[in-house]
Amino acid sequence: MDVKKDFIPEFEGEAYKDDMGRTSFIVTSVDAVANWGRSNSLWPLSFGTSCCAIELMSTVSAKYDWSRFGFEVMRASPRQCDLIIVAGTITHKMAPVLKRLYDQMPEPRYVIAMGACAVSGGPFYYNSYAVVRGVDNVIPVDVYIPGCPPRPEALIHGMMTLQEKIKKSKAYVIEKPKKKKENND
Amino acid sequence: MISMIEFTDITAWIHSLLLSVLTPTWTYIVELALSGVTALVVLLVCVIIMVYMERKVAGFMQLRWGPNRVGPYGIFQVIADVIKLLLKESFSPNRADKVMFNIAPALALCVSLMALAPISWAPGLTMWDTNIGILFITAISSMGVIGILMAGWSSNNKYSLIGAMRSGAQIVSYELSAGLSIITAVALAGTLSTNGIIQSQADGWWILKGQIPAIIAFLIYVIASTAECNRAPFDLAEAESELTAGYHTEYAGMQFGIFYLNEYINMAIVSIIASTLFLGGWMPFHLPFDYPVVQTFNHIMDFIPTWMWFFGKMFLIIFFMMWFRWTFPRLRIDQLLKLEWKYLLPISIVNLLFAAVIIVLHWHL
Amino acid sequence: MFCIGIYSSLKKTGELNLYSSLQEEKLNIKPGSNGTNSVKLGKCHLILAQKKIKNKQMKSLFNYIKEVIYAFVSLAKGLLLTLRYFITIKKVNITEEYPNNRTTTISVKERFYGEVVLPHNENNEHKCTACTLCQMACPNNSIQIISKQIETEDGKKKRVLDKWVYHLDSCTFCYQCIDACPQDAIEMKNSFELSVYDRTKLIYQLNRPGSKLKEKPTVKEQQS
Ligand code: SF4
Ligand code: SF4
Ligand code: SF4
Repeated sequence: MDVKKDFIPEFEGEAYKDDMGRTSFIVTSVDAVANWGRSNSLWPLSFGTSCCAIELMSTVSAKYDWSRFGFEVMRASPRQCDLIIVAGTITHKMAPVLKRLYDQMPEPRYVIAMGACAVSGGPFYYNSYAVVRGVDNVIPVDVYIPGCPPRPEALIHGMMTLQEKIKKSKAYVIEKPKKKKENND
Repeated sequence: MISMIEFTDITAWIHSLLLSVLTPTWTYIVELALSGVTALVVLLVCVIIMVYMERKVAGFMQLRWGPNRVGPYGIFQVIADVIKLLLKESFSPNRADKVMFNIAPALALCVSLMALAPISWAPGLTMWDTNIGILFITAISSMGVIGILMAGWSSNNKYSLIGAMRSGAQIVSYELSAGLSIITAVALAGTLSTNGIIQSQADGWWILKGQIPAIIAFLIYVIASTAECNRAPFDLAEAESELTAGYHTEYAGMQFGIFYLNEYINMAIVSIIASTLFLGGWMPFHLPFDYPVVQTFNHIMDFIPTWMWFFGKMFLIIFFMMWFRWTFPRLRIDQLLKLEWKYLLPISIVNLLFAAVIIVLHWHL
Repeated sequence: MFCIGIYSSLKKTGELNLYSSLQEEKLNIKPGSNGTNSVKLGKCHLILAQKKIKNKQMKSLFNYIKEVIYAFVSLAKGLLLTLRYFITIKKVNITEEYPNNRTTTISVKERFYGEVVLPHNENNEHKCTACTLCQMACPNNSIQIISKQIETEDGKKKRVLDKWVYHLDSCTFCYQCIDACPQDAIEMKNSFELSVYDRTKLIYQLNRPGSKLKEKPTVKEQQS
């Protein structure tokens, strides 16, 4: 394995800016605290649909132990988790269930697509009538982990990538009420 | 020396200070608020330590490290969790009974905090020094089930409902043997006041003085109270493989956090009671003999401050409960009830009789 | 173990008791004999049944106590095991701390399949002749070979590789493409840190810009 130094891909970041393009100290420091909390306590939903879930389980196990990051609190109820790791094939029959689980999760919520099946349909990409070709057709995905299945280390790397993303994004999306479209005529 | 400053002095000083400024009624009110807030803060710090400890104990018992990347040795892990839970969206489901749904966590928390009132933290440091302290605690702790039932019922979710019902059955059954083993200790001490019970252990803890009945009662109390706190191996109320998350399935964000907190506060209270009854609360370790060597030993023990004894014993029992949790697999619901009704209850009744015989014949030291 | 021993011995003695009680009654029971015998037989059954009930009661009480003791023994065993782990965690710990051990003790075997690569040499040359055999071998369409026609110096038309498009997002690391390649142009790498924020970033072009086919040495050159 070749050793890269910056092994976590850069995320451009989307720090809060006002209309003039300035950042506010209070907002950024609140962002920093909130993002620190969120990124260090990602509780995943125990959701695994096929063989990638085996690798997910082994990441929980003593050898790879993602509790070091504070991810070990796997909640069975979607209400209490922050992250859904789509570990495995999503068939057209499972897709509504996945969508529903995602909808039941409270904000902020994140999604990791783990394995070729979740990223693109994988081995079923070419010639299957039953498989969703990528969960990003169903729910928005934050981090993609390719592999069939990805190693437990790869999953941990994916989680760290997600942490990087959370740390550099806005803690709150403050959307202004949209103006009505003005009729020019 | 710090250990020489007794808490009685501090409370007396605060009392006189307040009296010099305020009228007696207001002094009373301010003191009430002050003691409540202090107890709450101490307990919250304890809970943060306990959650961290739980995760570390779990890790160590499973051949892994547990949290170690957030701060040195992962000590900020719990703080990160709390920040996240506070900032998480919390909502009530559409079909839920909104009022009940939102009251339930607060009610559960209130009930378990009420049990703090008669606890004796240190010599002269009791919020409500009543002569029926233990009775009050037993009465209050069986009310904890109301918050849980409310949560389960109002969520309008079958998993929540089943979880709450199971929890109710469990708490009501295990209340019996917990109560019987409390009675054993009370019979030995001859008083219901927490302070009185601790004072009665000045020449040795009941677990040493009370012969075999005290040991059995202590064991039964620890088992029954683990079940009362809904902790593994008795966590059927939230058995995640069967019931998603039991009675708090529908709770999100800080409302769930309050249930989580509640579990740990319950654990703390239960272990404080166990240490009060059987391990002498804040009382240092004394041996019940009259030899000069033993006397010097007792004197040496007195040098360790009482708060250290108090929290040491509390965390020892909490460690026991965590140890159980990470060793034993979960019981089935019928096994759980069988354990209580067929084993613990008969044993504790026989044990109480045995203890009574010992007390009547003055066999205890 | 101790309790199991007791239990089995008890079982045996229970049976023995029954037999001895039969003998104590000194009943002559012969098959096919007259009425008195059958009365005796009935009596014997009665006694036996009574004894059995008594025995059962005794047994159930004993079982109860035995179960309690055995429960405590087995619980203590489990508790001691976890306590041992808890105390000697420094020794028994088996965690590979992934991001810390990246440069040191991480064990990713050479044979681990993580990514298909098209190796280039120092002159920016690869060995792929754009024969599309790999594309046909791939079971899930992860490879797209896009070729172009060029004219060589001596006026011949030749088909060369334009883009070697690799869809890492659907590759299952089955090694089929590498087996199929007649030129040994592609290889499997054991990298695994491939997470990205955007799915389109998982589609790679494996041939570097400006790279060209590595010319095979002609027969003459080989001889010399
Ligand atoms: S990507 Fe591979 S290992 Fe993962 S679920 Fe799909 S087929 Fe199974
Ligand atoms: S390894 Fe298998 S799936 Fe991946 S590109 Fe080669 S043939 Fe296709
Ligand atoms: S990689 Fe090999 S099989 Fe694939 S096109 Fe190139 S030469 Fe042919």
